[in-house]
Amino acid sequence: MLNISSPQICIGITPSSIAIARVTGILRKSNQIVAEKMLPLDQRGVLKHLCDQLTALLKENGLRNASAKLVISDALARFWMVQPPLNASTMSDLQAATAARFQTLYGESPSQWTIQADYQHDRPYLASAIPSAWLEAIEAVKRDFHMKINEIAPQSVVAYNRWHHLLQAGSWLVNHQEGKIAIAITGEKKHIIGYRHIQCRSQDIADESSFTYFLRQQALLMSIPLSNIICFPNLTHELSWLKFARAGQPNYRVLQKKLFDNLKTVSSGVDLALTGA
Amino acid sequence: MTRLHIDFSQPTLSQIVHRGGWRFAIAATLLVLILAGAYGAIVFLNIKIQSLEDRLAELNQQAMRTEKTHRKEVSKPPVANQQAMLAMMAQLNLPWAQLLKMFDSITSKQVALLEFMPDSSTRTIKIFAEARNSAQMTRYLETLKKQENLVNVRLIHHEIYAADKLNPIRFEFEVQWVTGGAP
Repeated sequence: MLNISSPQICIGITPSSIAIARVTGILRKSNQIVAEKMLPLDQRGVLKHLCDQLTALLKENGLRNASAKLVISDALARFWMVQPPLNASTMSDLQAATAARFQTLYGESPSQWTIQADYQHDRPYLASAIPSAWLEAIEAVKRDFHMKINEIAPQSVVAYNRWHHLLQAGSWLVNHQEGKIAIAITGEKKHIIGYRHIQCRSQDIADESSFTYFLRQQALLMSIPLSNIICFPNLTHELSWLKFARAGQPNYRVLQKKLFDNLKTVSSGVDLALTGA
Repeated sequence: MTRLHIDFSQPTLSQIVHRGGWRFAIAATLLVLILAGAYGAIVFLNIKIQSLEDRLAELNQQAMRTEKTHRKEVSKPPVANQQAMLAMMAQLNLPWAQLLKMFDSITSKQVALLEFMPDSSTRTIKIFAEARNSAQMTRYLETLKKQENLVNVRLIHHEIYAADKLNPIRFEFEVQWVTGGAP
């Protein structure tokens, strides 16, 4: 049931941190980080600890009956592109092809995973999977706090849906988080035509030339031209050189920098919470 | 350009509202306005239809009243007209051919019929005629009396026509005709 008086929150979950942003306003939204928790090193990435911390944060802030959006780190999800089979005629054909592609790429049965995809019958589409155990744990928290979950999606998907109108055809949507780079590559009609989530070293992101070199390597691997690099707003903190990036090839552009301008300390969970807020 | 439809949550109504945001609010407002407009239009049309039905019923009643009056006028023509019409019908229904044939067969060259005035209401014919002399006149009237279809042959008036040098007799008489029975 609709309840417009319930608090609107956005929860960011990464393997190492959890953050909750409160969203206010309808036409002109504003957001505020109300809770943030970094996990100890030995608890990072463990589902039970993440759920415990999330429960504790919700309880501390009295966020019962909230209307929530969950942004999950790309690191906790899996992504792959699927070429729809030529003889696919129904949605179940596409679902079967997506599951088969998952099995081929990751070498394991998809039974323990929940798969969602932007199913298309006429062009390659992006698919994503999250361990079913994660979704069950989130469902349990939702029940305990009488929450309404409006969306559960990985950060790249949330960012693309939020900012796709700012992208140009052929843009690369780039995010860096906890030592990994997520790259979503758009095609002529700004559809996603490729996705990569790869480990990077600290020297790869140290300055503009190193980062550009790193991205050019990826472009060569995928045989895709490198043109506009659209960076997530949180990268202005992580990649400080972005402020001084020169115009040229490729062009660097940061999405909605002001979103993070007033934040002094930012954990990766806050990035996610603000991306969705 | 569309969004990526990747969402691991269970679809709910609040989710649709959340995703729609202000667009949903506008769409919902528009929907409410459209529904309210449609309801208003239906109510207005109902009232309009009702008033039109009332007006139609009123017109029907008026038409029925007018028709009744008209029928009265049509069914009850003035008595004089009616009588004139009946008289005309009776005149038209006279057995002209039969009467003329009969008079033609009995009228000799000594008698000439000048005027022939039938009255269908009394089945009487008033006739003006001219004869050479009184004997011819008497013979002619006797012949008429012998006719089966003619009764009550009555001489009304006779005189010698002095303006003519042959001094013929002009006479007026009437007869009643019968059609297979009593007059």
